[in-house]
Amino acid sequence: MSMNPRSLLGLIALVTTFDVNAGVIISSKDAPFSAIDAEEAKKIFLGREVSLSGLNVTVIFQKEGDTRTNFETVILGKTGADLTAYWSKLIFTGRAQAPVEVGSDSDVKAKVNSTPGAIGYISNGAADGSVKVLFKY
Amino acid sequence: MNRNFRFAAYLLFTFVIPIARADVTFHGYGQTVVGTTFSNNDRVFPLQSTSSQYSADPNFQQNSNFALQAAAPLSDSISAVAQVLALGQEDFKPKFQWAYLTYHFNDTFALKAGRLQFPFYQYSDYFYVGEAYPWVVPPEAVYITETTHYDGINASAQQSIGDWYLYWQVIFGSTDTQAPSSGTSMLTISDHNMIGITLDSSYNDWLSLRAGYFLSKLSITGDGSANDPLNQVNIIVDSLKQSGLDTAARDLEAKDDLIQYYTVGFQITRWNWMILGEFAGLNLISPSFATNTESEYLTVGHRWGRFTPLLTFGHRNQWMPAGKILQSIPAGTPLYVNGTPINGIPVADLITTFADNPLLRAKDYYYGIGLRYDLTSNVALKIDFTHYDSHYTTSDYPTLIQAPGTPPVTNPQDANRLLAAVTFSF
Repeated sequence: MSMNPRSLLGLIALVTTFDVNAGVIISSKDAPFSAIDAEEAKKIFLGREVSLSGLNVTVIFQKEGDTRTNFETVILGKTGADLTAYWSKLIFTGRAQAPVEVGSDSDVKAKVNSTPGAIGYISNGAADGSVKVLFKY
Repeated sequence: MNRNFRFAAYLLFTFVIPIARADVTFHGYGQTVVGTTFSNNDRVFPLQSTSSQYSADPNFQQNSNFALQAAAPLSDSISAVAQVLALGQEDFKPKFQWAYLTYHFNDTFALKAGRLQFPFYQYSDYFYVGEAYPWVVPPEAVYITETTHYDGINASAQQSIGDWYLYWQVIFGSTDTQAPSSGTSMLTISDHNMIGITLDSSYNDWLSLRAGYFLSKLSITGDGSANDPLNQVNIIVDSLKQSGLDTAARDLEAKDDLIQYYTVGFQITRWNWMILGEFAGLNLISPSFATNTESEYLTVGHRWGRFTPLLTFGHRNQWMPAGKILQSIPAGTPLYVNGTPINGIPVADLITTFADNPLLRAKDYYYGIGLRYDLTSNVALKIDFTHYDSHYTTSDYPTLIQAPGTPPVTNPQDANRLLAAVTFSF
């Protein structure tokens, strides 16, 4: 079965608007964390793993926007209201500490550098020498 | 700001802030719910259900609530959490719903001690967090227990095994809850020395399975007011003692009687479809005038963008297992009132009549249709219409013999309930 030109164009459009390698998970430059994989990233950002390399983790989310939606879709498999419902359940039954929410890529970088054990995500283009990259997605 | 709120706020801030450093975090949730049953008939839904408080006039209080939670790490492994909840049905009087310390042994084990919520069923321990589930209120077929929080401990363990994530909880504690019974009278329902275990498991985040089992010592006492339906029970109990039937008297009383709760549940979330259901049972191991229940519900929903329409079916069976008590009462044993036998009223008949009381017996079906709209990721609008169908009719209740001074009973009727809500969390 061959693909017709219209659906091929649609597929190309889909791939280019949704850049697969679109973000990085970061910590502060001197945090004692080594590289993590997608599975570990998911556990950390779903509140199932509270420490890494012996240090308590503070999870940093970004406020609603493309970077956040992309991260949630690719890494967590849950987004928007579904993810809020998931976290509400954990926070209000005391199963996990609520993640911190900050505004933008630069806010995330500032936060991970000022908070021991903080881990966040930023878009690919924002990664620079001021932070340590733990995982690229 | 009323006195109670000031007091609760004072406790909240003195409990947490002086001990912690500047990293106290605040979160909260709330909902405004308006409901109607289109009818002013008394008790169109089972008395224990939240819906029984609705009538023809829109009611903005019954299921509305607001909660504030403060959490503070006290060290690397200890944190303190306090959650103050104000319920519309209690005139928004704030009270501590949760107030506990958590000790994290490591990534796997944690221990909580203090005031906690019972994790009976899937949504029990976050029953008031409307933001976290699709209906306006969790299906009443199952979520009808009056007992919500307890004072005690909760030991938990989490583990990942292959594609499975498992979360275990073992709880131990006690609770005394006030619940409305008839008119303005109140019951005190005590679960003492409750021990329970739950397992929540999820497979690749699209399949969840849950099971729970609890054992408890149950006591139920009334307040002795004119409307207190337990006055009737007390007359029968005294009467049995008058006849020297102490075992039957002890069997009838609800005093430190062993009961068991058991539940299984599942949830499938795939391709924007959601199918979930639970089965729950409550079984009296030691006899008393309390009731056995068996209930279940099934919900099917689908997410279309921000909309999630859903359909729910629920069923509840409730009955008082009077057989064992009746077995030990010789035929013809009369009722005694104030030491005088009342001829022509065998006490066994009175127990049977009590067990047939529509307050105790139920065979209910619930049919619900609802819609959730996610305005933002933490504000939702919800609407729910439920038709309640009682399969008992007036003829199922034989002529009731009433002990003097007891209130008349009414039969359950078919009814409809409409609820609309806006929920939020922050």
